[in-house]
Amino acid sequence: MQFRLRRSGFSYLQQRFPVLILALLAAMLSPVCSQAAETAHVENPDAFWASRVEPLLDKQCLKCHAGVRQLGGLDLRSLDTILRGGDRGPAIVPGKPNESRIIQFILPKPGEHMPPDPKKQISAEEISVLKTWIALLPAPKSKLASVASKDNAWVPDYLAAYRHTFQTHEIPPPKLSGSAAIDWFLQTDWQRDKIEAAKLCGDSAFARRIYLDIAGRIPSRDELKLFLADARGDKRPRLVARLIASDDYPRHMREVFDTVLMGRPTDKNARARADRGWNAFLEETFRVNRPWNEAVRDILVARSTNGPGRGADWFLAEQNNSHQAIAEAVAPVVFGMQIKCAQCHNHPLAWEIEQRHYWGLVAVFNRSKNVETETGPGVAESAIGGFVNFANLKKESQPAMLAFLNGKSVAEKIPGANDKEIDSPDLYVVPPAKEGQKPHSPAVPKFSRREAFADSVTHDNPQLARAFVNRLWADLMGRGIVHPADQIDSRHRPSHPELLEWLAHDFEQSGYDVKRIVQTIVSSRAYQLDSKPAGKTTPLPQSFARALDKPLSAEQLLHSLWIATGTKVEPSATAEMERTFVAKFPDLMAETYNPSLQQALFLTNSPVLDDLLKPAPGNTVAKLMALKSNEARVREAFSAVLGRTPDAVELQQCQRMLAAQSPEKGVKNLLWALLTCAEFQVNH
Amino acid sequence: MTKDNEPIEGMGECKTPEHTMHRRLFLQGMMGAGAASLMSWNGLFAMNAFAAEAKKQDKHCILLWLCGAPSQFETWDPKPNSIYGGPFGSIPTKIPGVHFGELMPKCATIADKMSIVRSMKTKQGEHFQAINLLQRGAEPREPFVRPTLGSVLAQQLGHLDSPIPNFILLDPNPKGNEFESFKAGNWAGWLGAQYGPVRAGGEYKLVDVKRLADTTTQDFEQREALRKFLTRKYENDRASAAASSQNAVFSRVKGLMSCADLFDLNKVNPKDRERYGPGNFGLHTLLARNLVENGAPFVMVANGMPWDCHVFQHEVYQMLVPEVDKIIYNLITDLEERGLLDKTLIVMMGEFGRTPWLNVARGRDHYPDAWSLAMAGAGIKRGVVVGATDDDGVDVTEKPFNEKNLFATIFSALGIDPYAEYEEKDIATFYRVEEHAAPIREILL
Repeated sequence: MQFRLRRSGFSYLQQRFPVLILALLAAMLSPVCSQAAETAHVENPDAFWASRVEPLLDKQCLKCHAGVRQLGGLDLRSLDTILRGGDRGPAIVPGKPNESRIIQFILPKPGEHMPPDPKKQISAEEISVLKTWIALLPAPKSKLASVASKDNAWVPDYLAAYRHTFQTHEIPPPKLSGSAAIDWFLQTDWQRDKIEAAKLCGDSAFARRIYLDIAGRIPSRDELKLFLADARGDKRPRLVARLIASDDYPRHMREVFDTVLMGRPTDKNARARADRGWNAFLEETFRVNRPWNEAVRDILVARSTNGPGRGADWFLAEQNNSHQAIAEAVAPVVFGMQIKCAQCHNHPLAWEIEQRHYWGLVAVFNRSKNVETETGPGVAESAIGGFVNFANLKKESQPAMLAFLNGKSVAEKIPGANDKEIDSPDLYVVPPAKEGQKPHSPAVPKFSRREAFADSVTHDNPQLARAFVNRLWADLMGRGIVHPADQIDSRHRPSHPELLEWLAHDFEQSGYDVKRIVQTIVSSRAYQLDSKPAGKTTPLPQSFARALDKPLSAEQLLHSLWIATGTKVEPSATAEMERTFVAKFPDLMAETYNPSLQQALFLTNSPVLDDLLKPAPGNTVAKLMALKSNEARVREAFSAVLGRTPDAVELQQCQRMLAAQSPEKGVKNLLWALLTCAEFQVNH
Repeated sequence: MTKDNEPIEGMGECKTPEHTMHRRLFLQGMMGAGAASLMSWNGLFAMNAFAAEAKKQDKHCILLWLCGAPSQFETWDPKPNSIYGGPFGSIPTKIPGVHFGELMPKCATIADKMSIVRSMKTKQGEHFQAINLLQRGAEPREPFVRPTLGSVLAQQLGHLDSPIPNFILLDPNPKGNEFESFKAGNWAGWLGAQYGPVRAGGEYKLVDVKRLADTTTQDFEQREALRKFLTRKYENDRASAAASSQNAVFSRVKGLMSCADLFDLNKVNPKDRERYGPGNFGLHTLLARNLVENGAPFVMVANGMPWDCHVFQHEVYQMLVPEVDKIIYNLITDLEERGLLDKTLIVMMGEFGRTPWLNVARGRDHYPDAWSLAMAGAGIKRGVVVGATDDDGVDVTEKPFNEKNLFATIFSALGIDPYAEYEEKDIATFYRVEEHAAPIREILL
């Protein structure tokens, strides 16, 4: 079944939906015509749903007809659930507002109607919004669809056709490179919304940005000089390729994904992540560019003691046998979703996140246990047990099944109430040790829930690719296509849905090739835009029409401070300094950037930064002091810290400041100001 | 440096002109067309024309934020004879005919110094959404972010040149589920980062508050002036919110270094400390009292989300309620003794109430339909109870009030126009209190 719909305008609607025209006419005659007039431009019911209907239902109906409470069996959070309907059948008949149960229920009348509270009736204007939306929906072909029928068997076919017609989006012309495709998607939107994009950034700005994003630090003065002196037309892609091949790339990617996957560690866990091989696992993953789905599989299965998966088991082990904590950590990685609030009930707003998914994910890991073995610590898995029930708010209990958010499930025989499961070595590849003995290595059952789950989410799971691509995009572009980056659900709409799908598909098709997708994004024109807005109005961040501010992470800041101050650090001292900075600057891709007073105090009064500003052989302070003129000092300082020349006012003022002080004091104060100003503290 | 260009004169008192400048005027002056070209060293510090700011009344507010949502039944609206009233009885108070829960004996003796609202009726039963609702006073309307109560009061009651921060958040507990997520969000909203909270207390110790030995006052001031200049230049060139919030926190450094002792838990009077009890909430309420005594306009005290007792509520409440009873008692009597109660509004509330019925785990679940809160001090009548619930506490029977009524009350009590329209740039039409919601007149002086 497929609707014949062209992306045409009003005349098509007129021919197809006379009801709509009536609604429009009626609305125009009424005092709310300005509202209704907008609908004349809307032809896509999906867009109309998002802009008008969903907020209205949120406000008026979802308290009783959504995730937590579904009175009358009715869930009004999406077209899917509305059509599936409640105890009385589908809530609407598409294309026929007046035959739709929901309209009949909300019309003001004495007796039974919605909402029940007489003070909170739905206004005429709001009713007309609902009617308009229903009228915009194509009428189903099935005769079953009628107000008189409870039958909703026609719904799946209808929804498939609906998606095909309204949720299939434009695709870029074939044979565009990945980065050109990114630009095609963004530019299409800029043209439509009349947004003026920033101009391309200069070479110095590009170099600073790409070093911070790929190498996790600013370029040294020599590196910057070399790049600026390069006259080749393809010097930017050459630099990108060189940085991705450098040792800095896996280190920086480890820093980012360690935090993304596991959050900032406690002091104790920071050491464990290094000692237990987790850091090495991540670095090796990015260094040799292992396919992302394979790395995720290692993390979920968590039993490689050798080979590239070694150390991956720390992801489960750090959660210290808390299976709920594991489930909550796994969901953003493999589905791009936060599921915490589905512990006690279905997600109140995002209809697709159900309580059974939460407990299904818990069940995947609830046969797992941290163990000490002769070959070291590991995460054993039992062949039996782990059948739990969970209760919703109505105290209805049901068993947790292995059913997942991507729609897949794993069939498993649930033992009856009187069956006692018997653990036996026959059930294991590596059996658990006998009572009181230390096992040689962690137990591995023949049927492993972890493996079954890993298989069903690391192949043919578009959510895995979407989750990674959106994260990476947020890291490189300053904001996810879905924002916040780990909440890709029906309540957080992508700013560019087609682009997200395209990138996720491309990533999947490439065999989850991380280096390739990094290269694709940073080679786009969009990545290389200036951070200064082009026009007088600043474009919204989600338009990506200029480079967004990315406050430096703790590690970026520390490594950049070392470079700018010309500080050589013993590798043995690095880890402790990193922990100091992480404690002060824990945020990475924060939803809202909230610098703290404690950070400002740290930068102002802590001996840590002060130590970098003491003259030492070969460091920046010493070099500046050795220069003859204050002008030369200012120019060198700007170049070393900000990678640019000072303008006339900056030059004059900084020279004056230097003139009033001894060279050492002056240079120190100048450097401090440059290192703590926003231009240094932000990647732009 | 010549006298004319001396940018940091008087900075010891933190009195640079832009501190006292109204933000809107600043935006008009600096951020208009060609802002970048106006940008100069001199221009940055020569804005006395805008410095005149309405003289602010000397009012303060302390919000005891009982996050997680306390039960009205065990506190301000006991129902000992209803079937789910719980094991605790009620006790008479200083107000004839009015009872509090029996776990609040001390507050009962000063009930005539406070006002109780027993008919709060809101619409959010989920923590995160409800915290937002009760902290901001209206439903969200994306993409705009309404400032929290503290940010509005910081703007309205605060002096930008005061060394003590205008919005202090004392919340020793970094954890706390939905409250933790809320805290990571945008507190100041469209008012801008300079009205966001300074967070202190517990793990958010203020360290690095002493100038390093070899950094003189002159070093400190000159380099900070240059840092600020460069950051503001960056902010103007790139319309950067990040730069603006960095300058906002750095602008607090100098003042804070001068009053860091007020935040030092080791420096509170041990006798006071004993009276407020050993718990973190009491300790930080005491800190709030000290801060207000020293001029802080708004202090919010929280302690994670301990009040969310879905399980074994009665056992937990035997500790929690007497603790908060003692804290409220001491705070009100202390402020009164110091002559500060008439100038200081104390608001004691959570984000909703608890169900009249018990769940299987003998806890009470979320209940926004009928709940209570208490206020005392500036602008508030003494010894008034307003609103009522039915016999089982299921619904409000008299005078329901929502978050908008509450915010109108708080603003009115502090002498702030509740219905002023926000004048910030690039926002839709918003009012301090939407829908012209009436204040709770019964408790206003």
